[in-house]
Amino acid sequence: MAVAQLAVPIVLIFQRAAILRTGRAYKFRTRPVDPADPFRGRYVQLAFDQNHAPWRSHAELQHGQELFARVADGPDGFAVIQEVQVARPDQGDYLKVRVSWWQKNEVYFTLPFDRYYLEETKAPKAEQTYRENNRRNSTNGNTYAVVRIKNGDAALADLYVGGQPIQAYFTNRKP
Amino acid sequence: MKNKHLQWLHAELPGLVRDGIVPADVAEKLQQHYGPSPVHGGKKLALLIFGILGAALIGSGVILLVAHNWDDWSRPVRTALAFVPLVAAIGLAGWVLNFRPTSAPWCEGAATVWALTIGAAISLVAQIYQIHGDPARFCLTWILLGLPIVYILRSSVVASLYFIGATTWVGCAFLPVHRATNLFYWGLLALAMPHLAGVWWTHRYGWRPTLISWVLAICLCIGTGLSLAGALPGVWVVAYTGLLALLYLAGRRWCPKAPTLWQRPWQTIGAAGLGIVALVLTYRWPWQEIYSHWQSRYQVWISGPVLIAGNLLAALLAIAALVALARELPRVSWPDLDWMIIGLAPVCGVAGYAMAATHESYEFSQVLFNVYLFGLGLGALVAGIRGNKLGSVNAGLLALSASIVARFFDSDLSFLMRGLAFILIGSGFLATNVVLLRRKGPVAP
Repeated sequence: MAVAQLAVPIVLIFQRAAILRTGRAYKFRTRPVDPADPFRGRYVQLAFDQNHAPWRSHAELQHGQELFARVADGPDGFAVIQEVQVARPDQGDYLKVRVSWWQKNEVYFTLPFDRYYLEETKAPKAEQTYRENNRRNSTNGNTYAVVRIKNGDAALADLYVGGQPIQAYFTNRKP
Repeated sequence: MKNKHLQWLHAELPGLVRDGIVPADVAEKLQQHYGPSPVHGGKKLALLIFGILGAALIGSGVILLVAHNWDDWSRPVRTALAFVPLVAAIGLAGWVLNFRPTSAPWCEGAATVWALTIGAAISLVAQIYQIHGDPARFCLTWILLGLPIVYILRSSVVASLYFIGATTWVGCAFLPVHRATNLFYWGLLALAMPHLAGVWWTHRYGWRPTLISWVLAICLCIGTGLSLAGALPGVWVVAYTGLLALLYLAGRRWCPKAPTLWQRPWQTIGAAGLGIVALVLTYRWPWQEIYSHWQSRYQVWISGPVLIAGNLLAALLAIAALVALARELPRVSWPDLDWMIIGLAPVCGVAGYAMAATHESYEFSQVLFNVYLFGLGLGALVAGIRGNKLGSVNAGLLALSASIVARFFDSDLSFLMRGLAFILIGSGFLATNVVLLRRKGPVAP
């Protein structure tokens, strides 16, 4: 029984490490807010431009329903969601997403990597930085998340602020 | 025997033996018969509580400290640190099993730390590897991994935490995706029931079954509604009247001689919960939309085996309560009038729901529960007076007062109707007073 209790987090580690090692990297533009999770520390809540896609089917959707979003690189180097479908795609990269809401021809969904955990003193500063970059209500191309995707699973590899990884950003930032 | 009486007895016995009033062997037999002085029992309880609280605080402190997110260390180092609390807790549990297997404070403390560190390890790994966790899956994994601790260390605290975790899971897992009922909740509860049965069998009025019973009763009140969320609209009326009546009747049957309120969790939660549900059902709004939702879409709510099973479970709760009531009816007497009326709650629930679901009007159901709540209060009052039970008298007065106040401020009823009803009821009380006075003679000043 003790083996099972130790095995569960170990399996999580191996699964995540495999995605980070062999998954294909995509860049997702982000817009954050800063809340706190008492079980996992301070994190930056991430929201993405690519949180909606055309819905061409007549099937009725339910809030929380799982869909598969096909992902590809856009012309500007950032990821785009080409379409969402109910069945798992046979080829190409895709993500498992959950329906937030939908209207006639468009479906909005939550992506499976909406948090980036940081040291609690850095998380509010990260929020402030993102706000500074979004004064004109448009995301700055220098703020994005690098996500590795493999077989529908995603692993958040890093968060970029001002064109550099967030840890390096706070290390290099002048006081 | 109440603690203060027991303390008095233990304090008096040495003096009585010294003065030759009671022989020493009789005093010894009396002490064995009534058990040890509650002073010593109180010390043991304090040790136990402090042990559990200390362990819980240490475990929680570990979680908070590591949640600080120590970016200065590399990922492998942080990963290794994430496992340290869990490995230490497993080691502590092994030591307790080998060297302190009969010590309740050690067993409960070690079990509590062990259970908390399981969640800490999973949480820390998720933080370190930026894993977006589904709260429901995290909760379910945590409680299933922690369940064996209940049996290995015979921990009632962890069993209580398990029930709380299962109820949290059914709340997190509730997604109106396909309006599904979540019947796995009941299976999860059943996994820990052997422990409750074991501690209840050993000492049914002890702190272990009492603690678990309080926690389980409250969890059932919350979890029943969550697990049956996808069932037919309004079927919660049947489910809750059945569940609460069943809790009360089960408590009366299995713990009839509980000396204190603390040791009567099933009766307390059942009666209080039923009073609240009955009060809510005296209003119009719970009944108003049952008909419209039921008539237009009932095929959806019974379209799958899981949904049908959820509705059947609600009915089963009501049936079980009625069966429990029928078994007790041959023994009913005036002092038992209150629990007999409680046992009739599922009948009112089923009748009210059936009328509201099949007819567009809700007045019958509303009036039915007004009459029921009034009868419940009156029954408790009469039973308390007849059986000299002050608690029943107070509960009856509370139910009657709540019913009267609710109707007094109910703007759905006209002033004329409210006025006439209050005059009639008040006259009834006065007439009852006159009858009682004539039976017993003049009341002493």
